[in-house]
Amino acid sequence: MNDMRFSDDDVFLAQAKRALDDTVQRVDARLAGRLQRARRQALANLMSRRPWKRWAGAVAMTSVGLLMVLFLANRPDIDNHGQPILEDVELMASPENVELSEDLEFYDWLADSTTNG
Amino acid sequence: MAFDSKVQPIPDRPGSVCLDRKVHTLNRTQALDRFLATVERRALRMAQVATGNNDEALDLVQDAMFKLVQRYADRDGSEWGPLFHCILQSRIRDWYRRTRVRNRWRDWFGKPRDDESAAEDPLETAVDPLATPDEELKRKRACAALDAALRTLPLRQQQAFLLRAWEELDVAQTAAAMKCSEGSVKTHFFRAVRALRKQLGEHWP
Repeated sequence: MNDMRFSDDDVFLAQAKRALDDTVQRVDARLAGRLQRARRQALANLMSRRPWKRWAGAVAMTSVGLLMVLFLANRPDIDNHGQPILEDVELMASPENVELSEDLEFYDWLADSTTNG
Repeated sequence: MAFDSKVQPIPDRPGSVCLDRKVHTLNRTQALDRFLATVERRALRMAQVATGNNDEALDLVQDAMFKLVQRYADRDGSEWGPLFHCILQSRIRDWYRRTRVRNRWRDWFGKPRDDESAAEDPLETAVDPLATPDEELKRKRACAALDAALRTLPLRQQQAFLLRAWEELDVAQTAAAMKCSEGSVKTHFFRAVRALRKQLGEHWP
């Protein structure tokens, strides 16, 4: 590939740039019109933008978060129930529990002991 | 295209800050309009090369315009170019990933791929009224050959080539737009040039 010397790259790149510029001139009118409409729509958003709207979302999110924290922190039963829920999850996830749930004799025994007890 | 983004009140006029803010927004809108008008067609061509589909390309460019206006309108005008390309290339990458996943599923179910049902490229049919028929034909062939060669490149090489050679972004700006290292940009660009020259041959254009 002797004809592909690095020094020729500049010539090639200039020709490629020209060809690409050429294709831009040939974008058909229908597509160019749609592109122009898209630009106007994007810019219309800027004109209708209100400065306070930029902060409204962030303020709303922060307020909701703060309310949630306050609500959870002030619940009197949260300490009593938070721990058992975690323990339950731990128990359900433990391998012994899976083995136990597969043991049908255990359920028979449990039913008997509940009726007799 | 840069201008002062601070709003100065006019002395002795109540409510002048509000008026100035409106004038400022109008100026900024006009500056953005000028900027987008200069880049939109090239952006569309880039997206067309990447997607091979006019509607998809238009959607990607429109998305990039919205994002630029929505998030970066207040930035200095000199930053808009690199930012716009950063957004556009990010959109193109996302589109590319989505299409790859969708095509995998289509292959799985035996449906035709997205790129097989792409619409006809209007560049192939558009006519330049100023050129003679021979010149016109030669230029059209050169453009079509370059387009076809570009479409065979991997996406990263395509992006590196278009941003460096056409948009004339420097290596650092291209790396920012492509979200990769400067070394990767150099490698992708080098490979792209080699591959294109090999494909287009000695006598192109």
